[in-house]
Order: sequence, then structure tokens, then C-alpha cells
Amino acid sequence: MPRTPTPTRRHRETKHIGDPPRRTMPVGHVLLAMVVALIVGALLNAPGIRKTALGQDVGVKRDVATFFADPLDDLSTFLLLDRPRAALQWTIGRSGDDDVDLTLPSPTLVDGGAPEAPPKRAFSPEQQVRMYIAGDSLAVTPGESLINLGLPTEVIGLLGPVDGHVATGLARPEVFNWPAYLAEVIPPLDADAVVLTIGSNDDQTLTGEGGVGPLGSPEWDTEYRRRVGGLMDSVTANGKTTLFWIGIPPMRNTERYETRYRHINDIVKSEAEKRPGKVVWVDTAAVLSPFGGGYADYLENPDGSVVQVRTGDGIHFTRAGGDRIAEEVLAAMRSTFDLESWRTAPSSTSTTGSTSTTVPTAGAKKKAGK
Amino acid sequence: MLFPTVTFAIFFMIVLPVSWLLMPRRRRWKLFMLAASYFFYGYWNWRFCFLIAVSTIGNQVFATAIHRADTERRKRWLLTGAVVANLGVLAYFKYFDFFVSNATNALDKLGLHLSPEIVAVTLPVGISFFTFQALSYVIDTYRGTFEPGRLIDFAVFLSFFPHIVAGPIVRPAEFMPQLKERHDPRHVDSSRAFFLIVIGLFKKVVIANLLATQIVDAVFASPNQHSSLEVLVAVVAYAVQIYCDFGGYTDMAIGIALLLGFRFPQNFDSPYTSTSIQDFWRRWHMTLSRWLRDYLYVPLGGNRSGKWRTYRNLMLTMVIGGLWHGAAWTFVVWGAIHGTFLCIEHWRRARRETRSLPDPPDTRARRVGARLITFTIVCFAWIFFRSESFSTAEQMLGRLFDPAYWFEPAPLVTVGVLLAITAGILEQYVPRDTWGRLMARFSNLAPVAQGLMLGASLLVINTMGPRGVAPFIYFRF
Repeated sequence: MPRTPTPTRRHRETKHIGDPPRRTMPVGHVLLAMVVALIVGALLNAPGIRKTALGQDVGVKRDVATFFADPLDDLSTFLLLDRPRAALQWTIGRSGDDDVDLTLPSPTLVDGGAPEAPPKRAFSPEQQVRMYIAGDSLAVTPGESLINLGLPTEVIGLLGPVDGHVATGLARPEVFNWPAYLAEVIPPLDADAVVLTIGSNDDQTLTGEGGVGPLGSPEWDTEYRRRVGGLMDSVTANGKTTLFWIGIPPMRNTERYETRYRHINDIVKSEAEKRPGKVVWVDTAAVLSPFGGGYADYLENPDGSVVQVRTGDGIHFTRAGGDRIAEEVLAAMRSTFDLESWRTAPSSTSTTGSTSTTVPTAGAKKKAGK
Repeated sequence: MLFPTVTFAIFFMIVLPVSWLLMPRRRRWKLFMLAASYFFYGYWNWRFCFLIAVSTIGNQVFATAIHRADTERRKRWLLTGAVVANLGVLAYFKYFDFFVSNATNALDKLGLHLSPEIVAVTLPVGISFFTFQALSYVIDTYRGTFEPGRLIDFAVFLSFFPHIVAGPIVRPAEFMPQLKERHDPRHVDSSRAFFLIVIGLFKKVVIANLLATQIVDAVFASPNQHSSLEVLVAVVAYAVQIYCDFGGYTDMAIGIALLLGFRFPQNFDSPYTSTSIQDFWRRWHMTLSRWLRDYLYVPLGGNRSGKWRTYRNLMLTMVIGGLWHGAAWTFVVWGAIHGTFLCIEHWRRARRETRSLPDPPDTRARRVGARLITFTIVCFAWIFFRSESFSTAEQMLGRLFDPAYWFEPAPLVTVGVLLAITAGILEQYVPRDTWGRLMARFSNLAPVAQGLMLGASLLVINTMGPRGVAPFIYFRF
């Protein structure tokens, strides 16, 4: 650190060896600069701040945050100070980042009329299962495992990397509106299978259109069931896509799991059962619990070796844990689709009779990798 | 609490003026700063405040006892006790699960089947950093190069919030004397502080996050689903990501400390301009490498005991340095790679001296070549550092060198990714005096003008950064 010379005037020069001399500032001026920076920064980023404020946990924190963020956003708009941010977002292709869409679809399935499961569709290396993987943070590791384990089967193709959005769900559409997002993303993909992991961030009051609380009340159950069913029907509306919904796994916080997540799982599972063949609920407890049930950080493999399946937070998965879930998803796919008859079929044409296409994947070859 | 959050901004806007107001009253300032630092640390998990409190008291007791000990033997016993206690705590939190699962699997291979109830131990944030700082305090006291201060001074040193969670690893002799200095509130080196904070934010929030989310995570998760070009770019991207993530955090930590009137040592000095691995370790995580040099390599004998002992000491130091980063064999291999190349460089130097050969000419072409070779070796080692297993590392290398995938499409190699990599590397080639001139010009602006520019920087950073804040890579160490 440079030696500072004897102060002579208001500002003393601070010189670092090799650096041109620069002026120091009194603390009051430092604070002034910081306050100006924060005010200007807040006004310029007001739309983003408002969206972040809306995304806070429901309660005092959110109320306080929106109390300041809403008028800040109004002021920014009035002063046209939100325009630079919009221009920059447009330049980098992120227009709409600050949009808040609260509309959520309702189910289209008629209650009491559970349809029959459609016939099993057959797939082959020429007509692969076009798979899209998405969800909250719990989707990422199992999704990556599903890519590693699924693609070598030759009948599963990937429609892009795992589309994970941390801390999202169905409870807070102002944070991230999954139905609206999937309605935009899925149709162009023409997916055969959508593997979705959401629910672990939904153990809270529901906001947005139809918002109610608290978790577990009859009103909450009705509304959450509407959102789950609405999402399921929206994703499978084309009659071609099958939705594989990965259930919330046991957590180290067993009280939270038993009182909240199990309840959410029950709702999702029951809605899936109303849509046989179109929606498949994947039970993760079966592959992540020790013998006797419950939670475990480490599990024993069939060969006796011990492997860590959960990370230190008691929530997320290690690679080994992700692999176990991925195997369960693949097993569900084998039950839902015909993924094997191509091996004994006399020709390479699929039973659906359509032209064989290879799902374009990032750098993947048609032949099975390691 | 993370630096680039609104919560920290509010916290700091309160701490900064109160700190300067209390500065003339040393004792009150220390109590306030201690409380603020414990609040900062406890915001993540208040239970671990007890850990740092126990570490503070325990190490102060050891240091004081060592200082007062009247025989060398007694001093040595106390030092041994302090080192065992500190490393024991670190080992429990960091390596217990690693040890138990490896031991269980090893015994299983011998036919002894155990099924232990292993519960993953939560790793307290920053434990590797403050444990090493505490060890510095005790060891320097033993060596007589530092006299232990009062408990309150040591407590402030250990818990000081700008460096508690991810360094830099500050020596007591660098920080504790500053507690006695007169800090003049009329002369804060704010232009350098603001520069460091803004650049650090940009490096972390924009560059590091972009590279992680757009290429690195996807490729390292599934190397066999990507082309050779994607794997190659992902490796280079990770080199830039970890530099921008950790270097960005350190820049912010140093800048924040400067605003409070304290000086931290430099932690990075353009590491990707290194012309050798030895040079790299003079520029990368400098406070860790000097800690390993002074407290491990030199006590082992350094390079003073013949060439084979030198190689042993280099390998041991780098392997332990790798293990410091995490409980996984991939970190050990990462350290071993660096150790191996350090040994090779040492051997080449020694051979040149033995044969009285002149040093190679310092030409531009040679420097460029040396930088490229060094960067390649460093990136090769990063593959193991980043890979979650040897299988992943093997897949990465296999895909890199498999001609069948050299010309496959590379959709993850986007203009944004390439620009971010370029920015991260070129930043290290900007001459120091350029930064100095920019800081000098900035310092001449009025406070309001400075605030306007900083506000505009926040616009760029917030707009270009991803939603939410990803944790710093080095938080997990």
C-alpha cells in the first residue's frame, strides 16, 4: 500500500507505486457518491427491482419490498429512466425479462370422465423420443443424468439442454410463469416427452390469478389442483406429448417433507392418475430412501459400495442421486412407450409409419456414446 | 449474505458511516465491527457463529500461551496442539464424509462389509479461510515474528466481514497493526475502491455467471453429448469463469475493505499472463500460495535439502493445496498436476545452472509461446478441478481428442460466450497504468458525477446478469 504524503489541502493525493496520483475523498463524499449511485441504479433498474420484489417470500419482506418497488417503477417510467434498460435488454435479446404474467390456465379435463390411456407409441433410433427436460433447481442434476443415461439407449433424443429455473414453481407466477413459458416453448419443439420437476418451491401461499393461502387449506388445495391440472392439460394438449412429472423427493427436513411436500406430491399424483398415458408421475422416494423409507444422504449400491446421493443442503442431488432418478424416469418411459420392439423388428420403419427423423442434439452422434 | 445483493447494500450503507463515526473510539469501533461481522456471517446460518467464536477464543488462548511459554519444548507442544485442533475441526467439517465413504468402500473391497449411517456434515462457509488465518496467527506467534494482540483485536481480525467467507487470506501482521493506526475519514481511497467493486461485480455477475449457465455447466455435466469444440471452449470458459468468479469476489472484498479504511493484500495478478507454472502461482490466489509456501513448503525443507526432497516438498504442498479446495480425489489430481509441472520446471532450471547454460532469450515470441503453454497446462488441470468425477474428466479429454467429433456442430459456442471469454482474458492484459489512469481521472470527478457513473454501471451489470445470484465458487471451500 502506498505511503501517503503530508496532507496540505482538502484532498490528499494517494499514490500507489507505478500508478498516476489519484484524489482521495472524505467519507461524507463517499457516502454521497454511493447514495447517488444507488438512487440512479435503482431508477434505471426499477422494472427489474419490481420483479425481484414481487418474487420475495409472501409476507412482511415482500410487502416492504413492493411498497418501495412499485412507486419506484412508476417514477422511473414517468422520468423515462426505464428506457435505457429496455434498450439494453432488446440489444442482448432479453426483452421481456421484467414482464410479469399472472394468468394461469385451468384444466380442460372433464371431471369424472377419466380417459383411457392411449396405445403405446413405438420409437426407434430413426424415430426417437423427442425429450425436453425442464423445472426448478431439482431438475438440473437428474436432467443431466437423464441426458447421460438416456441418449445412449439410441431411442431417446434431446431437445436442448436442461431448462432449469431456480426457485420457481406454480405458486408464484410473478416470479416465473411456467404454464405461459411452456406454452411458448413446447409447441415449436414438437416434443414426445416433457420431463418436468416443479413443486418444491410451492409450499407457500399462492399468488397471482386465483391466489389463496395458506398451504393445506381447502381453498389452497382447490387452486393448486387447478394450476397443476391446467399445466398438465396445457402441456399435453397436442395429443402427442407425454408429461413425466418428477415428484418431490424426501428431504433432510423430514417435518417439512411430511407436512408440505408429501401433500403437494399427493395432489400432483392424483391429477396425473386422472390422465393415464398422458401424464406419468415419477416417485423419487422409492429410489432415494433407505430400506424402511425416510431420508438418507448416503445409500448403498447393489454391489455394497456406499455413495452420496444428496448434497450438503439435504435437498439437492449428487450425480449418483441424479442417476437414480434418471433411471426411474427411463423406467417410466419404458412403461409408457414401446422402446424395445425396434430391436427385433425386421425393418427400420416405425410402427407409426412416419418418416424417420433424428432429433438434432448439440454435438450428439446418432450412434450410442459412452 | 452475498455481496451483490440488496440486503448487503442496505447492510453496508449502515455499517460504513457508523464505522467511520466510531473509528476515533477504538474499543467501541471494535465491538461494533465485531457485531456487524458476526451478523454478516450469521445471516447465512447463525449457529456457525459459535464455531467462529470458539475458534477465536481457542486460538487466542493457544497464541497467548505460546507467547508466554518459557521453554522451546512447551512452545512446540502448544503449537502442535493448536495445529491439531484447528485442522481437526476443519477435517471434521470438510473431510469426515469423504473419509468415511472412502474407508467404507475400501473395506468393502477387502470383504469387510460395513453399512455406516453417514450423515452429510454441513460445511460452514469460509471455514478453510478463517482456519488458515487462525493458524497464521498461532504459527507466527510461535516463530516470534508476531506478538499476539488482545482478544478483541484477534476477534475482529478473524471475523472481519469483507474477508471472512472467501478471503483473501490475510496475515495478522498485515491487518492487526491497522487496528492501531489512525484512519483519516477525510482521505478515503474511494476511487480505487469503487473501481474494484464495479469491476468485481461485472466479472462475477456478468462474465462468470454467463459462462457457467451458457456452456460450462452443460458441457461438464454431459461431455459425451457435446462436440470437441464445445468441450474445448467449455474448458477455456471455465478457466475464465473461475478467475472472474473468485477474482471478482476478491476485488469486491478489497474494495469494501478500502472503503472501511483497511488494506488487504492483492490476491490475483493477471494469472493468465503467466509464463510458467511457478509464475502462475505467484499470480493466482496469491494469499493461499504464500500461505502454503511459508507454512508448509518452507518448513518441509523447501528447496534446501537436495533435489528429490525438493520434488517431494513441491508435490506434497500442491497436493495438500488441492485437498484444501475440497474433499474429492479430483482436487488431489489437480494439485498433483501443478506439483508435477513445478517439479519439471525446477529440474530444468537446475539443469541449466548445472551446465552453466544461459537463460533463454526473453523475446516476445518466446513469451507468447510460454504463456500459451502455461495456459494450456492450467486449463488441463482445471478439467479435473471442475469435473465431479474422474469419469467426467475422462469423458472431457476423450471427447477433446476424438477426431470423430472435431467438426460436429457446436451450438453452445455462441457470440456471447466468446465475447465473455475474450473479455475475461483481455482484462488481464490491460496495462496496470491504464487502470491507474482511469482511476485517477475518475477520482477527479465530483462525488455526484462519480455516483452517476456508478449508477450507470449498475444498470449494465444488473441488466446483463442472470436473474438471481449464483453463489461464488470459492464459497464451497
